[in-house]
Amino acid sequence: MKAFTLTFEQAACDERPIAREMAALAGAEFHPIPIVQRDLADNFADTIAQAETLCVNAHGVAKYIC
Amino acid sequence: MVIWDQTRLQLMAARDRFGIKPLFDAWHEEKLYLASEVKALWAAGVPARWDEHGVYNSVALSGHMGRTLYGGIFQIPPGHFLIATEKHVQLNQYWDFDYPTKENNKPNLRDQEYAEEFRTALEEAVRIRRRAGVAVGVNLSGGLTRAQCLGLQRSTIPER
Repeated sequence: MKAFTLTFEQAACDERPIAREMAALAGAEFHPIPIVQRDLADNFADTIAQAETLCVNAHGVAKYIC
Repeated sequence: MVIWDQTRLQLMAARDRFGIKPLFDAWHEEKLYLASEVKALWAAGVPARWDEHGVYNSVALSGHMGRTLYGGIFQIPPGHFLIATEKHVQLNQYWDFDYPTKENNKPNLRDQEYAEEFRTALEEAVRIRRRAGVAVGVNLSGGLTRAQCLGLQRSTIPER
Protein backbone atom coordinates (compact mmCIF):
# COMPACT_ATOMS: atom_id res chain seq x y z
CA MET A 1 0.00 0.00 0.00
CA LYS A 2 1.29 3.43 -0.95
CA ALA A 3 0.51 6.73 0.76
CA PHE A 4 1.45 10.23 -0.28
CA THR A 5 1.10 13.80 0.93
CA LEU A 6 1.76 17.23 -0.50
CA THR A 7 4.49 19.04 1.43
CA PHE A 8 5.05 22.79 1.65
CA GLU A 9 7.99 25.04 2.51
CA GLN A 10 6.19 26.82 5.35
CA ALA A 11 6.18 24.66 8.43
CA ALA A 12 2.71 25.93 9.43
CA CYS A 13 1.22 24.41 6.25
CA ASP A 14 3.35 21.30 6.08
CA GLU A 15 1.79 18.04 7.25
CA ARG A 16 4.67 15.80 6.24
CA PRO A 17 5.75 14.73 9.77
CA ILE A 18 2.31 13.56 10.85
CA ALA A 19 1.55 11.99 7.45
CA ARG A 20 4.82 10.06 7.61
CA GLU A 21 3.98 8.90 11.11
CA MET A 22 0.52 7.70 10.01
CA ALA A 23 1.96 5.87 7.00
CA ALA A 24 4.51 4.14 9.21
CA LEU A 25 1.82 3.11 11.67
CA ALA A 26 -0.24 1.56 8.85
CA GLY A 27 2.83 -0.06 7.29
CA ALA A 28 2.41 1.91 4.05
CA GLU A 29 5.12 3.11 1.68
CA PHE A 30 5.31 6.90 2.12
CA HIS A 31 5.87 9.36 -0.73
CA PRO A 32 6.13 13.10 0.05
CA ILE A 33 5.39 15.36 -2.93
CA PRO A 34 7.12 18.75 -2.49
CA ILE A 35 5.11 21.77 -3.66
CA VAL A 36 6.76 25.21 -3.76
CA GLN A 37 5.22 28.65 -4.38
CA ARG A 38 6.53 28.67 -7.95
CA ASP A 39 4.64 25.41 -8.73
CA LEU A 40 1.40 26.93 -7.47
CA ALA A 41 1.85 30.07 -9.57
CA ASP A 42 2.87 28.15 -12.70
CA ASN A 43 -0.15 25.84 -12.53
CA PHE A 44 -2.84 28.30 -11.42
CA ALA A 45 -4.25 29.03 -14.90
CA ASP A 46 -4.13 25.38 -15.99
CA THR A 47 -5.98 24.34 -12.85
CA ILE A 48 -8.81 26.77 -13.55
CA ALA A 49 -8.98 25.69 -17.19
CA GLN A 50 -9.08 21.98 -16.37
CA ALA A 51 -11.33 22.16 -13.32
CA GLU A 52 -13.68 24.67 -15.02
CA THR A 53 -14.32 26.40 -11.73
CA LEU A 54 -13.06 29.28 -9.65
CA CYS A 55 -10.21 29.00 -7.14
CA VAL A 56 -10.58 30.83 -3.83
CA ASN A 57 -7.12 29.68 -2.75
CA ALA A 58 -4.30 27.47 -4.01
CA HIS A 59 -5.40 24.16 -2.48
CA GLY A 60 -7.03 23.10 -5.76
CA VAL A 61 -3.79 23.87 -7.59
CA ALA A 62 -1.82 21.60 -5.27
CA LYS A 63 -4.29 18.77 -5.93
CA TYR A 64 -4.10 19.40 -9.66
CA ILE A 65 -0.29 19.14 -9.56
CA CYS A 66 -0.34 15.81 -7.75
CA MET B 1 -23.98 7.97 -17.51
CA VAL B 2 -25.77 8.41 -20.82
CA ILE B 3 -27.82 5.67 -22.52
CA TRP B 4 -29.43 5.86 -25.95
CA ASP B 5 -32.47 3.57 -26.38
CA GLN B 6 -32.69 2.94 -30.11
CA THR B 7 -36.02 1.10 -29.84
CA ARG B 8 -37.85 3.90 -28.01
CA LEU B 9 -35.77 6.67 -29.57
CA GLN B 10 -35.15 7.93 -26.07
CA LEU B 11 -32.06 9.19 -24.30
CA MET B 12 -31.38 8.90 -20.58
CA ALA B 13 -28.60 10.84 -18.84
CA ALA B 14 -28.09 10.29 -15.10
CA ARG B 15 -25.81 11.89 -12.52
CA ASP B 16 -24.56 10.18 -9.37
CA ARG B 17 -26.30 10.78 -6.05
CA PHE B 18 -23.84 13.35 -4.67
CA GLY B 19 -22.80 15.04 -7.90
CA ILE B 20 -19.20 13.89 -7.65
CA LYS B 21 -18.97 13.29 -11.40
CA PRO B 22 -19.90 16.29 -13.54
CA LEU B 23 -22.57 16.09 -16.27
CA PHE B 24 -23.47 19.17 -18.31
CA ASP B 25 -26.23 19.76 -20.82
CA ALA B 26 -26.97 22.50 -23.34
CA TRP B 27 -29.44 23.19 -26.13
CA HIS B 28 -27.99 24.70 -29.27
CA GLU B 29 -29.72 25.04 -32.63
CA GLU B 30 -32.49 22.65 -31.52
CA LYS B 31 -30.06 19.94 -30.51
CA LEU B 32 -29.33 18.59 -27.04
CA TYR B 33 -25.65 18.33 -26.12
CA LEU B 34 -24.32 16.40 -23.12
CA ALA B 35 -20.76 16.18 -21.81
CA SER B 36 -18.77 15.66 -18.64
CA GLU B 37 -16.73 18.81 -19.34
CA VAL B 38 -17.89 22.24 -20.48
CA LYS B 39 -14.92 22.37 -22.86
CA ALA B 40 -16.38 19.44 -24.78
CA LEU B 41 -19.65 21.34 -25.33
CA TRP B 42 -17.75 24.35 -26.68
CA ALA B 43 -15.74 22.08 -28.96
CA ALA B 44 -18.99 20.64 -30.28
CA GLY B 45 -20.23 24.11 -31.24
CA VAL B 46 -22.11 25.40 -28.18
CA PRO B 47 -21.26 29.14 -27.90
CA ALA B 48 -18.92 30.12 -25.03
CA ARG B 49 -20.31 32.98 -22.94
CA TRP B 50 -20.58 33.89 -19.26
CA ASP B 51 -23.70 33.54 -17.17
CA GLU B 52 -23.48 36.53 -14.80
CA HIS B 53 -25.97 34.98 -12.37
CA GLY B 54 -24.01 31.73 -12.43
CA VAL B 55 -20.78 33.58 -11.63
CA TYR B 56 -22.51 35.43 -8.76
CA ASN B 57 -23.90 32.14 -7.45
CA SER B 58 -20.47 30.56 -7.60
CA VAL B 59 -18.64 33.40 -5.86
CA ALA B 60 -21.25 34.44 -3.30
CA LEU B 61 -23.22 31.27 -2.69
CA SER B 62 -20.74 28.46 -3.41
CA GLY B 63 -22.42 27.44 -6.62
CA HIS B 64 -25.82 26.34 -7.85
CA MET B 65 -27.10 22.78 -8.28
CA GLY B 66 -28.31 23.36 -11.84
CA ARG B 67 -26.49 26.40 -13.21
CA THR B 68 -22.89 26.85 -14.29
CA LEU B 69 -20.57 29.81 -14.86
CA TYR B 70 -21.52 29.68 -18.53
CA GLY B 71 -24.56 30.92 -20.40
CA GLY B 72 -26.84 28.24 -21.87
CA ILE B 73 -24.92 25.43 -20.14
CA PHE B 74 -26.54 23.67 -17.22
CA GLN B 75 -25.66 20.73 -15.05
CA ILE B 76 -27.89 17.80 -14.26
CA PRO B 77 -28.31 18.12 -10.48
CA PRO B 78 -27.01 15.37 -8.18
CA GLY B 79 -29.46 12.47 -7.79
CA HIS B 80 -31.31 13.39 -11.00
CA PHE B 81 -31.69 11.90 -14.46
CA LEU B 82 -32.84 13.46 -17.67
CA ILE B 83 -35.08 11.75 -20.22
CA ALA B 84 -35.13 13.19 -23.72
CA THR B 85 -37.29 12.13 -26.66
CA GLU B 86 -37.98 13.86 -29.93
CA LYS B 87 -40.98 15.60 -28.33
CA HIS B 88 -39.96 16.46 -24.79
CA VAL B 89 -37.28 16.61 -22.13
CA GLN B 90 -37.93 15.79 -18.50
CA LEU B 91 -35.70 16.05 -15.45
CA ASN B 92 -36.48 13.58 -12.65
CA GLN B 93 -35.07 13.14 -9.19
CA TYR B 94 -34.28 9.53 -8.26
CA TRP B 95 -32.57 10.05 -4.89
CA ASP B 96 -32.37 12.53 -2.02
CA PHE B 97 -30.95 12.61 1.48
CA ASP B 98 -33.04 10.63 3.90
CA TYR B 99 -32.27 11.90 7.36
CA PRO B 100 -33.96 10.07 10.22
CA THR B 101 -36.69 11.97 12.01
CA LYS B 102 -38.03 11.44 15.51
CA GLU B 103 -40.93 9.48 14.03
CA ASN B 104 -38.93 7.04 11.88
CA ASN B 105 -35.72 6.92 13.89
CA LYS B 106 -34.17 3.55 14.60
CA PRO B 107 -34.61 2.05 18.03
CA ASN B 108 -31.90 3.05 20.45
CA LEU B 109 -28.77 0.96 20.01
CA ARG B 110 -25.89 0.51 22.38
CA ASP B 111 -22.73 2.50 21.64
CA GLN B 112 -20.94 -0.67 20.58
CA GLU B 113 -23.70 -1.44 18.04
CA TYR B 114 -23.50 2.08 16.58
CA ALA B 115 -19.71 1.68 16.33
CA GLU B 116 -20.05 -1.67 14.52
CA GLU B 117 -22.63 -0.25 12.13
CA PHE B 118 -20.35 2.69 11.35
CA ARG B 119 -17.33 0.46 10.85
CA THR B 120 -19.23 -1.78 8.42
CA ALA B 121 -20.36 1.23 6.37
CA LEU B 122 -16.85 2.74 6.37
CA GLU B 123 -15.23 -0.54 5.32
CA GLU B 124 -17.67 -0.86 2.44
CA ALA B 125 -16.98 2.73 1.34
CA VAL B 126 -13.22 2.13 1.36
CA ARG B 127 -13.59 -1.20 -0.48
CA ILE B 128 -15.73 0.34 -3.23
CA ARG B 129 -13.27 3.20 -3.76
CA ARG B 130 -10.39 0.81 -4.09
CA ARG B 131 -11.77 -0.57 -7.35
CA ALA B 132 -9.31 0.56 -10.00
CA GLY B 133 -7.30 -0.73 -12.90
CA VAL B 134 -4.13 0.78 -11.45
CA ALA B 135 -2.35 0.83 -8.10
CA VAL B 136 -4.23 2.82 -5.48
CA GLY B 137 -2.55 5.29 -3.11
CA VAL B 138 -3.93 7.17 -0.12
CA ASN B 139 -3.56 10.94 0.09
CA LEU B 140 -2.63 11.70 3.70
CA SER B 141 -3.01 14.97 5.54
CA GLY B 142 -3.02 15.77 9.21
CA GLY B 143 -6.60 14.55 9.56
CA LEU B 144 -7.92 11.43 11.23
CA THR B 145 -10.25 10.41 8.40
CA ARG B 146 -7.59 9.68 5.82
CA ALA B 147 -5.42 7.85 8.31
CA GLN B 148 -8.47 5.77 9.21
CA CYS B 149 -9.05 4.91 5.53
CA LEU B 150 -5.40 3.92 5.12
CA GLY B 151 -5.53 1.78 8.23
CA LEU B 152 -8.70 0.05 7.07
CA GLN B 153 -7.23 -0.73 3.68
CA ARG B 154 -4.16 -2.15 5.29
CA SER B 155 -5.88 -4.19 7.97
CA THR B 156 -9.07 -5.47 6.37
CA ILE B 157 -8.60 -5.59 2.63
CA PRO B 158 -6.04 -7.90 1.04
CA GLU B 159 -3.45 -6.42 -1.32
CA ARG B 160 -3.98 -7.16 -5.00
